[in-house]
Amino acid sequence: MTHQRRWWLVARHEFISNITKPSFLFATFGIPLFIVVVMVIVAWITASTIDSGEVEGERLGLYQAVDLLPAELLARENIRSYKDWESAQTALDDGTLDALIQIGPNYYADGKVGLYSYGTVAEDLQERVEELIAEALMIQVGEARYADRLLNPARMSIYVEDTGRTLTRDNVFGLFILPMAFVVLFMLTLQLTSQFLMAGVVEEKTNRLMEILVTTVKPLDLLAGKVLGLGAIGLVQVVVWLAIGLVALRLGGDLPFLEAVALPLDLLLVVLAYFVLTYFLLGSLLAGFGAIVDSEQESRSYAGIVTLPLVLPLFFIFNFFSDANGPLPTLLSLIPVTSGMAMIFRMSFVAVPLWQVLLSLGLLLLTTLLVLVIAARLFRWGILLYGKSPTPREIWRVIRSGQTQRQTQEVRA
Amino acid sequence: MSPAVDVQHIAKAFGQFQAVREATFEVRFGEIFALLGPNGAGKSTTIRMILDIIRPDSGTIRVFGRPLDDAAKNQIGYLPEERGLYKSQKVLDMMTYLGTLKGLKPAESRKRAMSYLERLELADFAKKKVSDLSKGMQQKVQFAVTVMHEPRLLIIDEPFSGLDPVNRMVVKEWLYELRQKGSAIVMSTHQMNQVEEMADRLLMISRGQQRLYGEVQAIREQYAIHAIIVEGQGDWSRLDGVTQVESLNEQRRGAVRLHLRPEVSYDDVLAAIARDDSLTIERFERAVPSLDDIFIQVAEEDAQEVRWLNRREAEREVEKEAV
Repeated sequence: MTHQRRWWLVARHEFISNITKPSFLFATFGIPLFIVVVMVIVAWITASTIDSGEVEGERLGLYQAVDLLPAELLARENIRSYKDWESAQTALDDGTLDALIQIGPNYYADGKVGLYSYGTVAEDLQERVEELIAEALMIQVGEARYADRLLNPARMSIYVEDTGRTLTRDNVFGLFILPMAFVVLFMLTLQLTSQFLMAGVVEEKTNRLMEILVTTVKPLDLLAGKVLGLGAIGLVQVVVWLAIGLVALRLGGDLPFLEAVALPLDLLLVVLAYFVLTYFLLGSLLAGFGAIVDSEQESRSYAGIVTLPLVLPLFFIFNFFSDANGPLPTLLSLIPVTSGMAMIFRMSFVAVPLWQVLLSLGLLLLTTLLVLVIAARLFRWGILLYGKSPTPREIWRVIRSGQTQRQTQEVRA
Repeated sequence: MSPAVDVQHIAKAFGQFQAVREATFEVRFGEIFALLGPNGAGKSTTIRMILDIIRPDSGTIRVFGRPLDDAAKNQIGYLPEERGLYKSQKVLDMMTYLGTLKGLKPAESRKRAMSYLERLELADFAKKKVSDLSKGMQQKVQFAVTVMHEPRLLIIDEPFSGLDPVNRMVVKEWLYELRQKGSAIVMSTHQMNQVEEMADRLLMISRGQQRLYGEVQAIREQYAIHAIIVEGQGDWSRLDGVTQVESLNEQRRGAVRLHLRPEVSYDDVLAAIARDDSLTIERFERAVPSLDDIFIQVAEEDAQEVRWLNRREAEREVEKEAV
């Protein structure tokens, strides 16, 4: 029987035996359902808040020291104007008014406007007052139809010719949320699969099945099979989550900020490549560590250390915003482990030179292969270490020499 | 035909600790080969070196006539002393998986797993989780997994630990059957009576050193002293040619070992007893030592050597200080 078949057997076994685990089913279906439920509740609460904050029905009063708002505008907006400040205040105090607008005597010089009310002032009301004043100003200039432009002089779209993508003010958020969503998705999946991976290795180690397994299957085949089988599990999970997410979006209707989420094919392919390679890199690392630690608890702390660099680019998110082709984002997008997230960020914001993408992927691939071989060595060596943790020096020696146990202190004799 | 296992001058150290100093032996097809030795003697290390789990510092090991390769691994069954299974998996599924890893086709592996479970009277548990099985049942499943692919070389550490007498019998019969079919069986054990009963040849190591190696019967003969064991009534010291009467603390009362002068034959003694009316015998046999005796004797010799070495070491220290 060839080796391809061996790792395939291991992969299939890992896939089948883990996909039926309750923890997997819960994470795969439970987490998105939970998120959907939370979103529904949030949407419902938000909707009911907006209902109660009805701006249109509010009774507004106005005292203006200068002649800014014309009578026809006040009539149209149903705003009562007061000749003196005291009577306006009295009206607010006794509840005749919900809110009172005060335009100062030096308005044209300092732009001072007061908005008085009991209780909170709805944000919409502030906006409405601003709009009214802008309109009034344009009426005075004699160009009322440009009031909108005064408030919002340019709705800019940026055409990135070399990627063919269009950025608008509305969908910049969409561009940001896309890589974020992928990173979060990836992190969650990685956490689950790596936990399975480590738990499996630690179980086999503690119950000595590993000794039987390594006399049957090459460590590299065993490792590759495990990483692949659990990777397939992670993939299933991502697909399920995406499907649930798409259905939820369809049900939730069109949200303006998600317009840009239409994922370009080139970006999608790169994202997939990074996902797969980064998963292999971390999976092999974690399996290698799983083999040298003695308990699942211990393995978790290693998992934390190993997965931390993955989210490093997140701390520098503003560098990516301001100059995604700058030195730091470029560096982060070349270093394996951080390169996945960094490159997805960069490619979302700007055009990245093709050679950098290829270099980054090449480095990641090389590192992954190297780690796979190292992990296989640790695997083989670590399985006979019972009841003691190796020192970093011992680990380093094994990685360098590729020899098993030659120099190690003590194995069960 | 080359032997199943051919080990030449292997040695293995873990740091300062010399686990195996020197061992040279072979295991033949169609024999049960016992690997004996006190705890920490280097048995497990030797087994792990044969299986290429760890590599010897020096010496060579050939399995089926060549260095261990993947094809050979498919024909080896190995059961380590401390055993485990995938607890959360179904018995049949787990056996099928481990069978396929040894090169069986999935359908064939499943079929064999089922028939082995039937043979072990565990067929009802095929769809149960491993953790639902009792410890003894798990031991039987482990044994079945080890022999499922009909290995040409079977290596078992303590094959009978944890088994009740009935299941011990089942496993023993199974091992005989495999030997009959030509498999080479290495069993590492402390249970000397099992070795006397089952093993054809043995290797005993102590403190990493090969001490005894060869046919079980020949080794016992080698350790035989010129003496007989008798049971009965009478004053044995009156017999001609008896130099010493040693009473044996065996369960049966009245058993003694009679040490004989070299020129006296067993027939002479038997004839003398027959002639003497004051002596009656119920048992008369050559004093061939049990493996237990030999084991203890060898271990004791080693311990003495250690004591002697320690004393030498201490004396040297004293000398050094004196200088």
